[in-house]
Amino acid sequence: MKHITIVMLVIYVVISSTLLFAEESYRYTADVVIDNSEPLDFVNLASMRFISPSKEKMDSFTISIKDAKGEICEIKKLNKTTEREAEILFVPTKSRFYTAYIKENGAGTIQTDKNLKEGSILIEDFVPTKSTKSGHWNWVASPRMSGCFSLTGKDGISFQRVVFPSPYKINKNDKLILYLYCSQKKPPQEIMVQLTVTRNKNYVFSWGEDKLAIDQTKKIQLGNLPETGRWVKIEIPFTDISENNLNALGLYYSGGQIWWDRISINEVPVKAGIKTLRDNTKEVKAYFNYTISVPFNIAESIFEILTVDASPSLNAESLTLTVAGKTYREKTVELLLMQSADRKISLTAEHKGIKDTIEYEIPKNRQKSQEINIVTKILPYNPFVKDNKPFTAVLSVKNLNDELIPIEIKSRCFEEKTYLRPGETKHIYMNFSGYNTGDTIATEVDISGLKLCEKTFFICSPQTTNINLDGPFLKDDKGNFLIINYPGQNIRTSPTQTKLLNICLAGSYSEETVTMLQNILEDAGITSVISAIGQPVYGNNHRLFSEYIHITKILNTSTSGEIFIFFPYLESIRQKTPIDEWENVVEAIISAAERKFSYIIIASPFPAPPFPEIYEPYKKAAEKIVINRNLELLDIYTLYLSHPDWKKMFTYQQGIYKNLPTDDENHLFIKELAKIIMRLWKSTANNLIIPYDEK
Amino acid sequence: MNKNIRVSLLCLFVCVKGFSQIIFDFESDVDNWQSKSENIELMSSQEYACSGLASLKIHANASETAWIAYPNKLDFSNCQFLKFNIYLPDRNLDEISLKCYVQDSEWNWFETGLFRIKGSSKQEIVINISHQSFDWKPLNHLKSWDSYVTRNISEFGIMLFFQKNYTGSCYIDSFELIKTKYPDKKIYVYNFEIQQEKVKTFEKFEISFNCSYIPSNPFDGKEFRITGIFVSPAGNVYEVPAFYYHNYLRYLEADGENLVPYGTEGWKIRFAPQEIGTYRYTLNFYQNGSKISEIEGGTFIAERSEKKGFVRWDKKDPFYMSFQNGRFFYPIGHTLRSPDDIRNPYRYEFKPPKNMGTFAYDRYFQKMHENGENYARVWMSAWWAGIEWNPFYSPHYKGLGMYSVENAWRLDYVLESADRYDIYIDLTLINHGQFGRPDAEWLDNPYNVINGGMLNTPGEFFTNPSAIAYFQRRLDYIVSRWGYSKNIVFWELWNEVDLTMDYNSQNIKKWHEIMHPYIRNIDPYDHLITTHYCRGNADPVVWAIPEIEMIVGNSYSLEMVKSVLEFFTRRKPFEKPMLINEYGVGNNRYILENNLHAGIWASSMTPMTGAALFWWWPFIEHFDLYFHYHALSEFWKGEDRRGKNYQLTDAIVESENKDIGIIGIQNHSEGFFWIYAQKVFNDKKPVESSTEKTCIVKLPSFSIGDYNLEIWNTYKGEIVSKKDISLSDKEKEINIPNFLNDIALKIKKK
Repeated sequence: MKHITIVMLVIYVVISSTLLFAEESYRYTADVVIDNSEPLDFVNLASMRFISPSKEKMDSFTISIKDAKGEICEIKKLNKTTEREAEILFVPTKSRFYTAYIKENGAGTIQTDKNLKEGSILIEDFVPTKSTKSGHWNWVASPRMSGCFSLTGKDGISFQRVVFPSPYKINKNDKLILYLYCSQKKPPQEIMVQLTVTRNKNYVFSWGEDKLAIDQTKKIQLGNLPETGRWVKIEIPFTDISENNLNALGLYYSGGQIWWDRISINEVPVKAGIKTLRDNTKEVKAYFNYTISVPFNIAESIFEILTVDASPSLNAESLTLTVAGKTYREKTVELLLMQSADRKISLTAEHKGIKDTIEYEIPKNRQKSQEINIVTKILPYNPFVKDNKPFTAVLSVKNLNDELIPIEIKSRCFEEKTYLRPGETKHIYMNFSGYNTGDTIATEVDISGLKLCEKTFFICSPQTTNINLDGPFLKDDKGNFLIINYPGQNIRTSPTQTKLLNICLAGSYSEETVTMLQNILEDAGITSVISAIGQPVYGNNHRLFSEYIHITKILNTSTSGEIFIFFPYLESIRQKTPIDEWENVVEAIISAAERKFSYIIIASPFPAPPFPEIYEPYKKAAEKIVINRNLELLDIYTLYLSHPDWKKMFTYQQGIYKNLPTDDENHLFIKELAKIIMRLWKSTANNLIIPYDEK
Repeated sequence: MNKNIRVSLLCLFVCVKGFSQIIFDFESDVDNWQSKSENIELMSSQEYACSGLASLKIHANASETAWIAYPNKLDFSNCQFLKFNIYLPDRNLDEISLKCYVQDSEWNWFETGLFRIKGSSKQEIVINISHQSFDWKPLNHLKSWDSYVTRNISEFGIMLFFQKNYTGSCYIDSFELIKTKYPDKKIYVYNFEIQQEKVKTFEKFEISFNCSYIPSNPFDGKEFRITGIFVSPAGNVYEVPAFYYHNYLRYLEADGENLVPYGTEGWKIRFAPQEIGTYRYTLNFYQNGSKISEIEGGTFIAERSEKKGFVRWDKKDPFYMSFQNGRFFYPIGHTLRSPDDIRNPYRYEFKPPKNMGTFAYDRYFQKMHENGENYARVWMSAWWAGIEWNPFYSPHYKGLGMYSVENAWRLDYVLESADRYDIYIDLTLINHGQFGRPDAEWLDNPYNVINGGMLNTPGEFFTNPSAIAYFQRRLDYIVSRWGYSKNIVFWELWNEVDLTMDYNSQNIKKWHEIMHPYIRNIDPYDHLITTHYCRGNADPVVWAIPEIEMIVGNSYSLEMVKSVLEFFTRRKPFEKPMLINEYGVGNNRYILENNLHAGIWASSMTPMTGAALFWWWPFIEHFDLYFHYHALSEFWKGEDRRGKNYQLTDAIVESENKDIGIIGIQNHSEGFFWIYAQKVFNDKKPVESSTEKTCIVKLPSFSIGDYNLEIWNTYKGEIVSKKDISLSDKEKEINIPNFLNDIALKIKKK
């Protein structure tokens, strides 16, 4: 059955098209498609850009448009852009697919509707960036009538009001067109549209019950609420509005939920494009569509973004596209057309040695250039990596222009192209790999080759001292974002026999720790020098990174010693730093300590009440580092948690828990620490590092 | 997720089973779940139900991912686990992965790790959602999963990854919240931290902690309140409420200041000791207005500091201010309403930087300090440091009765920076636009019925009991968080209150009569209180009430001296301190700069409480015009106006040049004068000075005797000449040397 249908369809198409050509003998036929993002319901007008395929002027063309069923569409208007280019406005049917028949007969037979009003979109997926918005602007993908989003508010009373950056000119013959969807489940009680015109005078139009009021403005009642559960088209004629400027628009509803879409003054045509252009005198035909942006500027450079799409060419085996003196082989080219550049486009299509060429000069845009406004920023990332492992940083890009902007993000490890809608923010996940310590990785953000900005990452080692904190980031003196690449391998030096045991304590521990530890060791006959790396000054910076910098700056400039003891800082744990990030930073600290000390002891965190489980993942992470790097663990967490008076040890006052044990309870971990030190000292005396397995 | 963790979670789940609540069962519809992917359809289905008769069918049509969400509020507090079932009936589907995410009240994103599910299998997903959980990782921000995140979830969602374009269906069902079996009702605090156990007087003593009780609205003292009771060495008792806090990290990017939420939320108590010695403190806990617990806190020591203390009306001369240590305070400064101002008095030759946030204040305060300024006016507006506004305006706002901890962090920073640079702040709590014309900020105001508030019109703010109560709640938070700051001079209740919609003198008067005692009652530091007016004649009814401690207003005029004198004389009958809080007119750089210069010199030559505040701070900043303030502060350095009974001078100038004017203050034995070119500083059509001038100053009210005369350069702040003069009955005049624009004099009896 399926095959029969296809065969019938093919026969129908062949017969009908043969008949058509036989009757009309048009030289050109173009397949025309209304873009998928455009609506079909309620649409009265479509527009199509047409460039004369020959050197004939637009005035000499006869054009006829039919839909897929062969129904003829009325051509409403022909807006000539240049002698060879026009925007053809026609009345579409419910179809997305059309055929345009075009011939050059020198007569120019197109009859147009002189009363057709030019429409302007007010709200469709966004409002101009320089508008002033109030209210509840909720853009949602569903339900929607056209574009990417519809606009809704919140439950209950809701509104959106926009004051336009410059007023729209209106007159009594104009009308406001809005598409509206009222929820079937939660229909609104009242819907209101407020037009603010010259001298801030308000006109308020209302449907449904009388629930809302705007000052003392008298409402113009337009009847019952529209049908629910489907899109409806609303038209508000400006017949009673005597003012000529529309300054602001307000959309209000009470109760329930509604969605607005595609709000315009007068009918704005849906966009149609030529998909293929045939020339019945030629086997191969070169043809293209193009789009061009408003003029933009960056610093002194003024440019437009030009996209040329040669895919409407017929039977082209190869295409040669020359734009502004540069030749391309791609079907679609997107480039920056600088202000001074040649605006000529030449396209040659070739098929079996037969060539066809179209040449055209894009008209100049006289609009004032706008400053390109793309905000790019690196979002907070984890800058610690082990052994050159890949890392990811996220670049946020936001388009603050009122046009679609193509963005390219390029670095030596990564390349991505994306399009940003007006007002849109995208997060670009940049994955970096194949780098080494000392590398600089520049990431450039371009618009068609024109550099907007550059973000640079510098890969450094834990020995790097040129590190600054910048809020959530680590940067060097040049402002580069840093990646600390630390070795996963144990690189400790062998212990040397010495009479004096040099110990370094870092992290969060009670003040008495140093004295108590020294006394215990002295009682055991060990003379020690204990240096202490205390608390960092956090300021307005990342807690964990502050701790890292504080310790490594001291470690990298201090003399060597025998034992380094790290007590995890309370502050970064108290802030519930994600475990993997914490583990990375602690391991980077340890790798810096390993260059200076023969033995490293990591303490697990104190199990502060009432939620010791918060500290357990950090304890496990500490254990993992100890195993991976063959270190010593001072398991404070287990030591204290297993004590019958565990909670009391952290009780500052009845009902107040602190994160460190009270002074009287310090001896518990200090004794344990002293035992580990004495064992290590003994092994140092034997000039041995005890393998982890033998502990 | 690690297999072991999952097993242990499941065990825990078994232990607590029986305390569960099904939140989505999809029996009749999709329970408000939505598809966020193009080719994904959601429907309630009778197939593969785990509980009840229906499940949620997720149908993919050639899609690599399926993103579905429940975009509504959820509360996970007092819950341990979230559990749901997923079924993939397709035998040909190899394996898919999924992750869950939530977005908190500020749309910060948290997500789980990946769960892997095999085709043709059913799987139960269990996620720890307790505040202790580490199952949720922050993405692109640094906020941690905590009690307040779990309480205020704006969206919960699931992302399924099919690994290739997939057409087919999977089913989810039976979303259950497993509740904590025995919620801890005992009140205790943890993560208790004291910044320093020894602080200097007038400096901040700060306690940070978490509390076992998680209120639904931490800003509503009626629901839950924690107060610190501090007993001073002399036995004075101060009650200071704790406030809800979250930390932020700031950085500067091309779009200006960015703040990233950092770490966990909690409570803080800030206290500024005013006596030397040991303070004792306890923590009191109130629920629904009743005290439910009292915890002994501890002690700390306050040591003597060099700080001058809080600013007070001087006891001997109440027209002026002094610090607690007795030193005279004469405000010299300008407005720093917010980091930037999108309006300008003329089309600037430069583009002022935008959105610089707290970074702007770093620079402003440093420059002000270097140039002798000591005073600035800062607004708590919606676009800057306001705390109560509509979340649609910006996600960090939380609506009526809930406060932006992000903007509060900004104000913390500004006040700490002000402390560093010895700048004192007039903190404006409400700007008129919030209750102004309907097309202004009123539409976004959370008190407006349209945003869920209680007010139909802006004017009702002053009379509606609920609005008054909400504003008092806001004051509670403001005073608890920033009351400690000696750098706040005034709580300025309003900016330009006369520009609010439907202004009614009696209502405004009554409102101030309610608010002033309210603040006096909750503020243990007795900051000064005022309210600001725009129009010259507004509003004597309000100026007269004792609750308005100082009359503040605007003086925008090209005839600056005339305008300053009018401001002073019109308000003088009210016998109150007064200050010009705004001025600045000029349609080009030259005129505006001269207006700035004239405003500070003319106003300082009146018996007003301080020098006038120029409005256009981006202009000062761009052209580095701080030197005007340097000169003024040098002139007034060491001068103590208190008890001197300075009055406007009756001195006159005599000159062939009719253009010269004089303004000054004096008593019988000393005086300060500014002699100026009228055409430059006090004219509707100002012009540049081109010729030098001279004059004679006649001083009829000075007593006879020998005087020191100093003639000052008003741009450099230097003495041009010094000489001894004698004033006699016959001759009470001084010859002034040539000057171009203006010159200042100090005359003091020997």
